[in-house]
Amino acid sequence: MSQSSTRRNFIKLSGTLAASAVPAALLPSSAQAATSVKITSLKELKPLDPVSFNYPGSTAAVLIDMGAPVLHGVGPRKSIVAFSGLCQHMGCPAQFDARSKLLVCGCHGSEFDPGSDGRVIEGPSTRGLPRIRLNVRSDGTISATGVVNGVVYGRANNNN
Amino acid sequence: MSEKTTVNARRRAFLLEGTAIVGASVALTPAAALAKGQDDVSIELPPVGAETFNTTCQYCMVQCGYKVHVWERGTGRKPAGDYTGILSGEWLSPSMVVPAEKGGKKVFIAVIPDKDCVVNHGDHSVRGGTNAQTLFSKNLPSAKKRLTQPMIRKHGKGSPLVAVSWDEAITYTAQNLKRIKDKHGPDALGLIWGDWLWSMPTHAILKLWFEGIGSSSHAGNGWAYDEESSGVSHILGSGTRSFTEEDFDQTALLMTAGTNLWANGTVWYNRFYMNNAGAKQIVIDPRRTGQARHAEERGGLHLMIRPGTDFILGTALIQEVLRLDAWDKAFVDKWVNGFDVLKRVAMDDRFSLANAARVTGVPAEKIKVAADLLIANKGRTMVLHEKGIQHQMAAFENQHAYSCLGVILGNVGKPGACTSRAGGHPGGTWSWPAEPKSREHNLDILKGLRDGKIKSMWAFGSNVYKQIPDLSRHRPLIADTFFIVQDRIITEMNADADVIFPAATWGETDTVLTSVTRRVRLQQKFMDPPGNARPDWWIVAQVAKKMDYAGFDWKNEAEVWDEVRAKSGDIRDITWDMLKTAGTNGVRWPYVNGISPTRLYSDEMEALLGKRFFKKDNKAHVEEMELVGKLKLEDFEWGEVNAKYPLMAFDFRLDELWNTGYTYWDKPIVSSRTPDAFLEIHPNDANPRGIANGDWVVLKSSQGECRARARVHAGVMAGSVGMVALFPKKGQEFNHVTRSAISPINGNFDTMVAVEVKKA
Repeated sequence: MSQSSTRRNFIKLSGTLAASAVPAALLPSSAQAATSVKITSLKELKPLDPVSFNYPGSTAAVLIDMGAPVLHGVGPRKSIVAFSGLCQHMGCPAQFDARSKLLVCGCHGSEFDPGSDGRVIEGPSTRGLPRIRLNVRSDGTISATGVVNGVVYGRANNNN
Repeated sequence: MSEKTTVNARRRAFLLEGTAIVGASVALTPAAALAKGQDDVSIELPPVGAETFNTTCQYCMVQCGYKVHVWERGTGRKPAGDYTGILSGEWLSPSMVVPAEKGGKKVFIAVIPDKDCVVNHGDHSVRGGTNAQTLFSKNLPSAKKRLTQPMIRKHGKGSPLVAVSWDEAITYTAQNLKRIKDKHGPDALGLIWGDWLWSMPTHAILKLWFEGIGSSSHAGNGWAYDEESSGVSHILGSGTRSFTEEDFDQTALLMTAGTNLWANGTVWYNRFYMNNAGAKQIVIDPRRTGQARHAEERGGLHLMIRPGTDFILGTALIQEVLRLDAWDKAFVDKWVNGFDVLKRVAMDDRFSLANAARVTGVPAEKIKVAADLLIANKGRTMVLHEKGIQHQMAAFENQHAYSCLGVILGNVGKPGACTSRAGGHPGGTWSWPAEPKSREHNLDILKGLRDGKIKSMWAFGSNVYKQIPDLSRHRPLIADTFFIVQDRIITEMNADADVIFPAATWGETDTVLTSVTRRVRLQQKFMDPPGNARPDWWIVAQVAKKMDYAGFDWKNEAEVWDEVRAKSGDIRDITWDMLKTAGTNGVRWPYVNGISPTRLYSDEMEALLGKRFFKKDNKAHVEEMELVGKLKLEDFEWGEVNAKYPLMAFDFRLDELWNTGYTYWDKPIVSSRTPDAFLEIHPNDANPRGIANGDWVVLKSSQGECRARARVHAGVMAGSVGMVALFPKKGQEFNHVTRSAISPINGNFDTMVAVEVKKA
């Protein structure tokens, strides 16, 4: 087992999730509501095979079927999650590594765990990856409906 | 509505209301945030023309540059879409901006890495990137923790602390110090000081201590004497770190021992990782860290070493270099004294590959490959080492062996090459007045404490209830002294303190700090200190004047700085105005005739200063390898491993935890990474003890015990266990377990200790 996944497993056993403790500097904005964008459908997905898409706007994002139930996972097995694809450190793309099951940034090494709400496992990023809210329709269509847990890199808000 | 519903509705309303009023005392709770539609959040950017200040980070030795912007809430910019791109260093993360108060107005304060600072170019670590979250504000967790009023235990031990005026607190302190000095002599007054506290405070307290009071009883926050550098300063003449930020971009080989650089000098390592992907690493570390993993991924080495055996590994590498006839002959012939001694010692069979492998646990083949890498990259290697090899009784020998190795390979004073300590904290102390003569026999303040000779203790920007070893023994002894606590936050020290001096901290007063790469920077004041907190140098000056010592009449920071620089040829010409103009890039020292050499021990330095090394004969000296040859492992910590304490514990630093964690719990997004201390333990040691991954365990030595969660994996060697250093949670403090031993020559605290581990 890779060292990162050992660390991730240990954190799962003993850690807490404070990713939802949003600092008071985030103000409610009066901007338009987040729009819904179709990403893919259930039948297109393969476990641990990431799907790239753009959300919000043209910003890189990634959806992954983790193959097993995960925190905030959607779909029949509660295994599907999606996150902003830009590292919260300095905005480089975070790539999914199927072996460690982590999203890893190639610039300075930050690692995020899609299995526990995009939290930082190691590295200089101060925050986990903002999660993209997903909606699964009865016909299997999966859409992005908003961003939670922070602000996408490069932006002042998550509006489209 | 049922009563329960009413209660829930009231609670929900309270939460919503509490967060709608920005300026409420709590951050948004998850429930409230979701109720408000969390995807509607928005960051306000500073408006054009916002008040802007220059500063450097309040944390580590890298000293990244930061810009601080202060503006009235609601007047900032709210750009739509993405306003900045990859690696720009311009994105204002939610981590970097907080609501606060200034001049009676509601403001935002943003602390953002400076994209134009040559140190970091907008980069940051998890520590510096969250600088803003430690600021004093009614809205933030840190507000409740700050010391804001001078306090004294007016009626002696056992009576409560009472808030008083500054004058009363100063008078009370001066009277008691004078009383103790008159009765027991000056050395009865003890001082433990944060030696990276800013330059004006350290100047003030050392002037008072050595020149005023005349006491030699003092220690820093990790050492008893010498400031830990003898192993390298005896070679080169100084322990000053001798590399630049650019070296990380240029080096061909990065060798680190006893320093997890990704965690401790993050932004340097970030540069290396991103800008220098072709370079290799040799990571010497008892733990398999992320940095070790990177090293292997890129064709380098992780040498997983048995703690305490670094001097053997270092000398074995020297032997291999000698055997292959591969040292830098031109450099050694011209610049190095004592090479014959080094040769004789290093060629001893003790340091053969086979013996070294047996003792250090590093396979002989790996030691050989390491030597080959060092030889192939001689003159282009950064040889860095730090506390992991210093907080042991073999501190000098460990440091010296690696440093001699670096020097004989010519890794001195060239681009991308150095032989140096890595460092840990930035440089606070500049002027160090001559210590009283009694220092010759008074090197260990903790021993003085145990012998009953210390009657007062001043904890000066140093949490002595966390930082010193063998806490169970020393804390009660300190509690019995006349105990002065000068700090920024409420700590456990308060329960036993006789005096509390509330200090103004980073950003609340002008301070000066020097990076390990020799850049002197002004950290500008951008907000007022809370309550009655005052700058540290001012507090010291009041006590000094009340004790009738002359020379403490400074009116402001600039006057103190002028006195500091007058005492040092290296910074004499760096005026206060120059520091203001120089901004986040600062002025580098030694600063002579308007020039500073880029690199120490270089041709450039020799041309400028007339010497290459800081030794009288202008040579590098390696004859103290003699001492390395004499050291026996079983003389110290390893000699205490026995049936009762069969495992060797060592400690290590966390990326997210700075020092004693005085800001750790202010940042839930950071502290949630490691909410409890953990102990790294090999399955071969965990399994027989019935310890599973995640179990709570007790770590016990003959000094005391602490708890941690077990992390069971092969990331440490069997027989060794790794504990988080200085973890700020009651019961999880490794310093209850560590020994009251100071390393000879280097004067380091010792954090390597024989232990047993049991399931809690």
